[in-house]
Amino acid sequence: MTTDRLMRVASSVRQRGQYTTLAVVILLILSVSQAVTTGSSTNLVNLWLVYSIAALGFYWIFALGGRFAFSQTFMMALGGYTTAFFDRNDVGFLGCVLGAMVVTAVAAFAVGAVLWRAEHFYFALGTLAVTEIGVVLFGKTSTFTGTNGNITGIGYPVVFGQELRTDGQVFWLLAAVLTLLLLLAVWLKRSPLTRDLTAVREMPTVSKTLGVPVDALRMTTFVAGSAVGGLAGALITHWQGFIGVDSFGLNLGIGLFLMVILGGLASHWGVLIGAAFYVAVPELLAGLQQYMSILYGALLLVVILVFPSGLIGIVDSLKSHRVRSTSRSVES
Amino acid sequence: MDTLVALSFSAAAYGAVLALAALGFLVLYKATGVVNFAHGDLITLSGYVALWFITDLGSTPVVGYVLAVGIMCLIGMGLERLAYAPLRRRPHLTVLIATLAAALVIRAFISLWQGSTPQRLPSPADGQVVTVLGAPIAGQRILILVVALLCIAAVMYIFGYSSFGRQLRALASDPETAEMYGVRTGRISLAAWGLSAGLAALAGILVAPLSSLDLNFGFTIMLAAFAAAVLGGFGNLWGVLLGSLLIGTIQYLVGGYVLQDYASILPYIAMLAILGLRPQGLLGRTVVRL
Repeated sequence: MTTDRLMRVASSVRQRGQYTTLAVVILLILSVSQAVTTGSSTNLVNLWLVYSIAALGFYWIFALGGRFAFSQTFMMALGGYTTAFFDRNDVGFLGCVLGAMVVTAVAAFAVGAVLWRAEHFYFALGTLAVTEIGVVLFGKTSTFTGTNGNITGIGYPVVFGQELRTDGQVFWLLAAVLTLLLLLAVWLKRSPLTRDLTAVREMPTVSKTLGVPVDALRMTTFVAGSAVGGLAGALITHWQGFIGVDSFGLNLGIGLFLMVILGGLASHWGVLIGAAFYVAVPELLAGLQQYMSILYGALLLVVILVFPSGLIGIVDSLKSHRVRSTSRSVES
Repeated sequence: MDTLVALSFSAAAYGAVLALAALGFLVLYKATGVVNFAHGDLITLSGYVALWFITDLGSTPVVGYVLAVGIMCLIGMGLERLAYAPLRRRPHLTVLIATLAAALVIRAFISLWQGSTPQRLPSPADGQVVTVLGAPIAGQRILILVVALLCIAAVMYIFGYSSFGRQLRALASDPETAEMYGVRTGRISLAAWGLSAGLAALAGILVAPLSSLDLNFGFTIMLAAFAAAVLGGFGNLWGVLLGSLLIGTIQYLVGGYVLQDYASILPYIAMLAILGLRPQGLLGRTVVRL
């Protein structure tokens, strides 16, 4: 059987089981949350969920839209600062978060409009420039971002009148948001939109001649993905009650990229694996903290060389291996 | 007037450094089609290697500089073998990710080796001041201008008139045909990586004494050099010289007089403006390869 057919079997297995997978993932998240009891690991679980949210947004831009946006951390920071700004002006939690999403979406639209002609590498470069500009601006404009870009004492998340003060309580909020977004991702995956996006990514000129709205689709993925990044930033800010310029640096930007690549570009489920990896591994290798970057770099190389489809690709090839062996035994 | 002269020299010196850095990654881009995101970390590494030769091994600054540039050439070639050669037939995105991975590893290596406290690279021009038109100019800036101009001239000569340069240009315009006519792509790519890293080293070593060496030192230079390259039309060598000069002027003259607080982001704004309005660069010839 050729790899091509293998891939098709693998992807069909994945396509069919979307809702089952979602259920399994939710169960997994819940059981993980119940399994951990100490404070620091609850913190890590929350970090996993919220990074998954941000990485899912990046996945939409990068894997579906085919554009390498370095600006995701900028969007997270913008979301965080916006929510802090609204919070200071006595807007409720829900209003803050929605406001943050709207502001990041508008910002993403502006960036996308400036860079609408920029392809591939130029888009990456342009968004990198946006991020660098953001870091300087956030550090200097004290009315919006507080002194030196640090704001403390941001209100706890409030849902249905209930204030979520502990990590354990915030977990439910994050899990709910992630579930909704994953559901959205599943719908997106099953909609014809994904087919259009694939066409746009692989051959933009051909798609244009066939009447696929290339520019609009690119803009939509970028704006939607960035807004989700802003949402993640806002949630982190409310959860931790603090935002600083260093909270969303370039390291996290590369981290998000690692999560998506490690998890695998073929499926949005990979994001969860990637984020889990990114959060858990430094914790497991606590003594080797200073070697983390070397490990990440090496891992990135190994993944793109040996498993171009990421960690989820390994799962797939195992699965299709089983499919193949069962079909063989049926034949014989 | 004094300020204007001093700022002009700063602008020119910075522009010259950017030109060296930008020529470095453009040579590589021409030869292999790869945009090397590790270029910035190579610049940082060169500063630390020079520092190591001078402070730990006790060599004089000039000897340390030359040795560091040589070592960096070798490191560039090593990088080619390690991170590029196995990926030569892969899509550009894969190679780009590989260079990002290389950047991560180099950066981590530097922080393990030298720590993250900012350090200062000594220079033979330390403390020397030249007075030009009544304005005091740091000797280091004069040194930068002289060395950078010589090196840029050499690179332009190699590129335009040597056999190596012709093969490189042939590869840039049509890799398949160049290969068919017997251009040894493997050898050229090795040489291009070496040259590229050598130019990165020159840029890093020349500018390091003016500021402090830390982990982000080269990254900032790389970004400004990217901006210069975009301004000049990516891939156009003369355009890059113009772009570098413009970025230097924007950052030091505009930033020096008007927007002092925001001087460091002016190059990025210029880059965004060019990407939005005129993606083919100011000189307007597009070389599409990516």
